[in-house]
Amino acid sequence: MSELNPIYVPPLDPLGLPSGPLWFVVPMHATLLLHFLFMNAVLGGTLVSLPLNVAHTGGIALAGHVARILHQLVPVCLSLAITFGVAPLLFVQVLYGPFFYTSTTLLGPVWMLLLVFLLAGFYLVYWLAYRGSNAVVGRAGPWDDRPLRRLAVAAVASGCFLAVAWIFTNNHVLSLHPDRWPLHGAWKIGRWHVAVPMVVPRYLHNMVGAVAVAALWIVGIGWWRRRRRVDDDATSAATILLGLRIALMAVLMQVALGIVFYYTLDSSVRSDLRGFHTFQGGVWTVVTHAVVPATLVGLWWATRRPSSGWRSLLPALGMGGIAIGMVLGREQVRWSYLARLAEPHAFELSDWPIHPQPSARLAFLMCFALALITVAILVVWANRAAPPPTSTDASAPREASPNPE
Amino acid sequence: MHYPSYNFPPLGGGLLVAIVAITHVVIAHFAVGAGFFIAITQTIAVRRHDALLLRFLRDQAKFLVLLAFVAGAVSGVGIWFSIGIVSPAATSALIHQFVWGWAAEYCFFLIEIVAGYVYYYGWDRLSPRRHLAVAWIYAIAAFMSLFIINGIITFMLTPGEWVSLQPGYNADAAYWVAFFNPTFWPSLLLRTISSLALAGIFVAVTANIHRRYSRDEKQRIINVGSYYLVPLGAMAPLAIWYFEALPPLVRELALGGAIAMTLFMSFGVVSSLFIAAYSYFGLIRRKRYINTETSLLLLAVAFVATGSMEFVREGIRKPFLIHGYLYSNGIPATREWQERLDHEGVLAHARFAYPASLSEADLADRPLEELGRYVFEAECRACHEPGGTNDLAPMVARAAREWIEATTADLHGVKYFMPPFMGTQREREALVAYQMSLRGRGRTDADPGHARSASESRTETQAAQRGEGK
Repeated sequence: MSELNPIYVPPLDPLGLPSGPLWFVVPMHATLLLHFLFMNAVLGGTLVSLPLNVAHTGGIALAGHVARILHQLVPVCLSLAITFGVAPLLFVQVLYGPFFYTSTTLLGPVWMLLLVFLLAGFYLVYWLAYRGSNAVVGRAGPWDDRPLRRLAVAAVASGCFLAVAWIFTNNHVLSLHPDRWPLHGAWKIGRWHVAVPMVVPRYLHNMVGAVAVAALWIVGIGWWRRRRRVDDDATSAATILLGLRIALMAVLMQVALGIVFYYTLDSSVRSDLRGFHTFQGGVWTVVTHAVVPATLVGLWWATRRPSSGWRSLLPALGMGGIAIGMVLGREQVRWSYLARLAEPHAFELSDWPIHPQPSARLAFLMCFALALITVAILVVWANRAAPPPTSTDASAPREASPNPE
Repeated sequence: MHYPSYNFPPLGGGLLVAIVAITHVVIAHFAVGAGFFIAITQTIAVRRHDALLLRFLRDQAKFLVLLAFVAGAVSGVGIWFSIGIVSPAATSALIHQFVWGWAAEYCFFLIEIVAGYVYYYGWDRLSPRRHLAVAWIYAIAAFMSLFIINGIITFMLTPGEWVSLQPGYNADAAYWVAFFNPTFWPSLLLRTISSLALAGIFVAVTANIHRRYSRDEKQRIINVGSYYLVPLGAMAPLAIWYFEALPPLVRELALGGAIAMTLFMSFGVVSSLFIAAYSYFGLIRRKRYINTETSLLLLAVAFVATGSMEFVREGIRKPFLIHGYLYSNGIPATREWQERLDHEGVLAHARFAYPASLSEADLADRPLEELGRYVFEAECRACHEPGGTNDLAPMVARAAREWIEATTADLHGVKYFMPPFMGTQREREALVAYQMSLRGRGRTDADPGHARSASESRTETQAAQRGEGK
């Protein structure tokens, strides 16, 4: 850790925590995982759609088919990404407020610009979705056979989401490095980049990870459309195979980038991460040494027979395990950096005073149970909903089959 | 005080938060009101087999998704972002006091989003009974979000007995005291009425936006929406209840004590009365048709009404962010902290107010004017944006030294909506010296605490010259 700049960290909030830290750490991890699932569908989905739309211009119908599916998927996923992103945003402020608020303030206008990028990207993907056909609601799409237009809009949207990810990455890294808060002796506000070695490899590792998750979505959508008989068997199998291949390549690249990222961490942090000194480090170690290789093998094996459901499910579960391991590893890295700050600023979650609010917590748990039940009911109803109504009208919804008879 | 401050020159942090928050409030209130509008109207339309209303509800649902789920969600996150930068201490206090409330609100927000999408994508696919059930689930979830957020927002202005329970208190009991504070119920009812009214106005807007309705169809739709403006009649007595629940000094700010607040209050009242009168006489009694321009005008007036009242609510909180607990500049409003800062100095705790290259010990040798810039950064910058909103320079441009000294010494006594000065004698003298340096300048220079180069160079040169002179 750099000792060049004396550091200062604002004091903890005197109101303390209303329950022990684990009450917030666990839901933070859970909601962050869900956020990553949907957020990567958005980011990875728009990124993956770019070469697919390019391939469509070359006449590859399947590429256009999958690109259009992604364009329909992304807006809903973005809503859910924001929805599931609010919770970890809340919990990170509860647990790490002094670090989070300082880093975001030092980013200043760049932090607020994130919202502009997000809003622009949001409306762009909605525009894409409404210009495309949607088998779920039974709508035709004027841009179904216009891959260049889709490409242009998707490219701008991708740029917006890449910018959002860059800002988030820099904010997170800055929050771990109070020694980087001063810049040339001043508290410079308005930063696009934090000059710490881990930033770029971390960012690239995460962006490739988004592609891998998006590929998983393609596999899942291929299976769902096959089961609902929206696509014929050949199209479904081709879609699933495409997703598996993208996932395989992306996970391989992630491994390479992950190794680079790992070695940009401080050596003491690396030793916390590696091994079984902590629960989080232990999970991360098992994931990187066992689950990742198994998932790579599983993905390759699945590509040999994409029509087999089990062969697709196993690597999907593997990628889920990888995501859990990475989220826990990420948290361990944070704990390690903050615990090693120069005194008196070294921080551990146990430093928080606790002022219990048991009845408020109970009220929350009741609301949480209600939400789980209600959302489950809604999802079941949605899943059991009838297919969209057919129509003999000339403007009836249609989706160009990638496998013309 | 403990955090760096950044106030988005020249807007100022307060204005930035206001713009983001008012935008979100209008959209969020619409989302709540639209939920009830859709659920109630669909219940009636299904019973009467009203195809026109059902067709309109589908369009309204699409509009709801595009506006509330997109701009509403992003602006909601925008509030978190902006208040975290502008007032991190207050944000931290709210989060740590109400984290379980925020978490509960999040549960209802989740239900809202899922229900909204299932409702929209479930047209003609869910059975009518289930589709209607989803509409009601959305409406109730949206209202519960409002219920919880209302508790947290009203706490900031009227924390009630919660302040006297600090510190060393029963945090669990204090939570409910804070949540169900003196203005909770009148505010909840006022916001519910506002939500329904906004939904009614948006009906007129969306009916006009969709070109597939004939004039007669639009008139019928607008008439149905106009009934959601009827509760505006209850706003006056509820507003009286709300104001009666305010602390007397706070009430006075809105009713003549602070001219800006009184002005905005007048805008809000007049706008609301205009909407209520037009709705009653034009839309309900005479069932008038209104075109796109008129509906947008009504919406703009509603925006002014909502924005003005939110602005007043925020403004009459001064000099506090959390009444009686935290001042607008992020300094705790307790006697203990007042005495501590008077003894130790504010700069002993406001590390980000002076450059990172200086240590606390270095401050003793700094010229008074420079020290005053740092004190300004720590205690004043939160509301007085240099060269921007509420710039201090024009306020002291022609002020006599004696006036500046007397006002600084008894800031809160002279101007109720200002927090008291807290700091050592030398820091107070430094702040006076800084204000004197602003006279005749017209504008305050950019960031005193962040742009180090000119200041550092100047003071280093002066220090070097003093050294050579010895």
